[in-house]
Amino acid sequence: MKSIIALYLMLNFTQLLAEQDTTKLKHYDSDEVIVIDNYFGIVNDNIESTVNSTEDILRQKNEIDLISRANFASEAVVRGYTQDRLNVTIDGMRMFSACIDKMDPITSYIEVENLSKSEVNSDKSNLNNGISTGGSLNFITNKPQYNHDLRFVTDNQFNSVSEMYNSRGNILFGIENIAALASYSVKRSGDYKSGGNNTISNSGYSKENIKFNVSYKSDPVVEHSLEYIYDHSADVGYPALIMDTRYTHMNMVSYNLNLKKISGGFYDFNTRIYFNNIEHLMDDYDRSDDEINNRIVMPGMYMPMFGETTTFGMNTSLKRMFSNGVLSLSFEGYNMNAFADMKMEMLETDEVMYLVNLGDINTTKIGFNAGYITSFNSTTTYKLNGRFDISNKSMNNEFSRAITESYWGDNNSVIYGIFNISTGMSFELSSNSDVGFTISRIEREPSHLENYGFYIYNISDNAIYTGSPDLDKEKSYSINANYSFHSDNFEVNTKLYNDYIVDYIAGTNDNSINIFEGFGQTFKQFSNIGNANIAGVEVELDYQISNSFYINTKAKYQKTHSFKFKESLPFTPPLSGKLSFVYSSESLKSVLSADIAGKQNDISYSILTEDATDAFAIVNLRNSYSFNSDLRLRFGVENLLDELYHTHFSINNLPNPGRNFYLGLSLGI
Amino acid sequence: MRNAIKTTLIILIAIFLYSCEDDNNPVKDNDPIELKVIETYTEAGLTYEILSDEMELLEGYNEFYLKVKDSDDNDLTRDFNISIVMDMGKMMHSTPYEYEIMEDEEGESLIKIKATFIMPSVNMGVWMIKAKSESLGADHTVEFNVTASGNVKRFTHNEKPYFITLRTLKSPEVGINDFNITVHTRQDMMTHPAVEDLTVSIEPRMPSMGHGSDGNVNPVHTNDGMYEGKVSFNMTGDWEITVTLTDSENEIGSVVYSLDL
Repeated sequence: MKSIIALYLMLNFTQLLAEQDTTKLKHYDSDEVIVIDNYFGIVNDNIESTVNSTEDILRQKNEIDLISRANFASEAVVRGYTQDRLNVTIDGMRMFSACIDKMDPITSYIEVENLSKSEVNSDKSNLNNGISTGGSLNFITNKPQYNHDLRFVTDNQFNSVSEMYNSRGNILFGIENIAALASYSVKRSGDYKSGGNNTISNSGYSKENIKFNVSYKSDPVVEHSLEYIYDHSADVGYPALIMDTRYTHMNMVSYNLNLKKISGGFYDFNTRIYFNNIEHLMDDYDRSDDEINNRIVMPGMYMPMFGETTTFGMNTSLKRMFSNGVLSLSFEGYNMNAFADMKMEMLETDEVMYLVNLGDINTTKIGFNAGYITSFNSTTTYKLNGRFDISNKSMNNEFSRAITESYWGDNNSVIYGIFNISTGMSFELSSNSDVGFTISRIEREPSHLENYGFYIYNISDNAIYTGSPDLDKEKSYSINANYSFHSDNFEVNTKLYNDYIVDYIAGTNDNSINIFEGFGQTFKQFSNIGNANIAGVEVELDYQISNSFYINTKAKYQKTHSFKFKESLPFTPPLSGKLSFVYSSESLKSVLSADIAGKQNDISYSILTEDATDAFAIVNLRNSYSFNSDLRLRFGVENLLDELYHTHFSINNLPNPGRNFYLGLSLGI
Repeated sequence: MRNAIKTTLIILIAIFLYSCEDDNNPVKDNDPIELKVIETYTEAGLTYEILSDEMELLEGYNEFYLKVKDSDDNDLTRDFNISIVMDMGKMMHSTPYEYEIMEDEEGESLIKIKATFIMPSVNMGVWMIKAKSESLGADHTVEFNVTASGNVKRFTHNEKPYFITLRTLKSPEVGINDFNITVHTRQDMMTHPAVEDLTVSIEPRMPSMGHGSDGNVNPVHTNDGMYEGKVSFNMTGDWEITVTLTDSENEIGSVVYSLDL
């Protein structure tokens, strides 16, 4: 509701506001303000101040679950939509996972000290950074601050459950027109223990991340920014999979130009050009001969697999104020090249087989977005967004063209035109209650893996997938409604949604290949399997008991259905929630929370081979104590009762970590 | 300045003319194959040369040539009839073959032989060309070697041997390859007619992996016992191709070819 009032006031004082400081303008022009700004901010800020990782921050979002394949690099799932159906960006920049087995979701390249905030656009009301049938996820990185004294902050943390040590920190400095920020993170983790003190072997890892930012104001309203991020991980054990990551390298550089004010009612012109490259190598050389010879997947052979993506692109945006609204325009273009190959090295015979999984798949995409937001009166806000993208993918590797000719002939290039539209209204029902809804029609082009992936193994259904350039776009017709009520010390926010998905893309059995005795996998090919439906409810309650005590409750429930297979869709979240008791004083923040999930019997049998997941409840106690502005201690225990459990998003039912005592110390100089 | 323009023009015209001249002499697609002598035999003043564009003759299908000259280098090839046999000591047998007289580019005569050697040379078996000329009163035997290749497989059905010869995949590559075979049987020791009324199916398989491939086309008969199809290899490595032959009623046999990509 604050947002609606703010918007109404702003629309009546447009010129004045256009000259206001940048913070207010940012506040005004973000679509997110309309849907997300609420009274949970303080509570969630307190909760987030006690978390230890990017994953912890994502876990706080009611609509997010995390797929775990290891004690590393969890994949964010929004309302049951995995990364394939999410438009994931970093500061609006595209980045694509290099590993074809999903071992390096984009979130794995962002450390918590890089992160300013994460924008979850699950209702598909924001099309600025692109959109997919599951919505979008944008990570906004930390930026340097002007007129800031030189400051160095270091944070060191130890986790008992995996004997993980994490050292991280940043150095910050800014004068009137130049500001710089550098940060680093080093992690070393051993094998973790699940509940019951069971060591999950081969689950350790090491990881480093550095980030540099420099910003320069050539004029009070003109800012140039340069950003570089390097992320490296090595020897990452994946106990849920058959291989481990030998290394990843991610390099990302971007330049951003921002003009806060332009004449003629235009403002906030932002242009960014960027480049990123990811290399990922995985193998099973560390697995025992016994494991390799007896596994059901390709027994008797090592399978080193390499993957690489290279992306460069630009996006630009501009806003124009009118007397009764704001027009947002943005343009985006990028090019991405993906390559992946693998060897199969027989242990006994030294026979070596080779194939290319992604043969220089070149994706070029341009998109144009226009959005308009207006307020009819002091209680009603209306917004409309439209976006058109055109995408071309081509397979350019000659070897790939040869080995896939039997599938795709010479169909080595595809073009998709993608049109998305979203509209919504917000109403103030009374001084303490609001209601809003969003309707959208969202299209998703098939991913480069779904179009041109070849022989890609998915351990979730023990199948080998081949893409199809003949796939139709997946379409989603969504309606989202939200209602919020607040009093002085209480707020409830309820969201209802229904997504009807047409031409849902999934694998179906490919019987064109003969398999012989001893071969344990099935072959599948991506195809449009008909329609599906996803419906759910999310509720968040916030109750302030006193100035220092809060209770925050989040709960959600979802039903999904594939009309073709007459079963639930994969990764349907169970009835689940989180209950947090928060104490916040000047120096101490404590959060006692319980993560609770019911038994999940709504599973997929055909699309993926899931099994039912038992209910669980774990209790965490997280604390943050500030001795002063320079010294802060974080300490707590996660999974206090040492429950042995796994979530419904745990690949191969990999157990989640058991009781974890952690201790972290932040020191600022 | 005018000289510079003139010189430039001359150079451009020269380049243009050179280009035109080049266009008038394109590389010929059907340049003559250089034949190599792989066997020489001399008897009674006559020299027999076996020539081929390959370094050796292989078990399976071969095209090669015979040239006969006297000591004065006179071309006598046209005077000869030939037959191909293998002498195994206690018995002799032939193999599917045909031949014709032709001339090379220099006008010299050659006997062009198309032969499907159903087995390689072995210790107890020698391949030979029996060359006869009534006008010259010559009846000579030219021995030659045939190296094992694995291209010919055999099986017996109703006491009749069948010879399956792989005619393609000399240099197999990933992707779709021609898969052509010929099928012959044995009527008597000297007669090996083509079998033209079979149904052939193929099944490629990677023994190391345990799966096959997509996009294969079962060979169908075209002429003279030749069955033409396609085989697809979706990755490098070891492959086996099982060929199954069926007559109008039953499967009569199957053979397996192995190769490494």
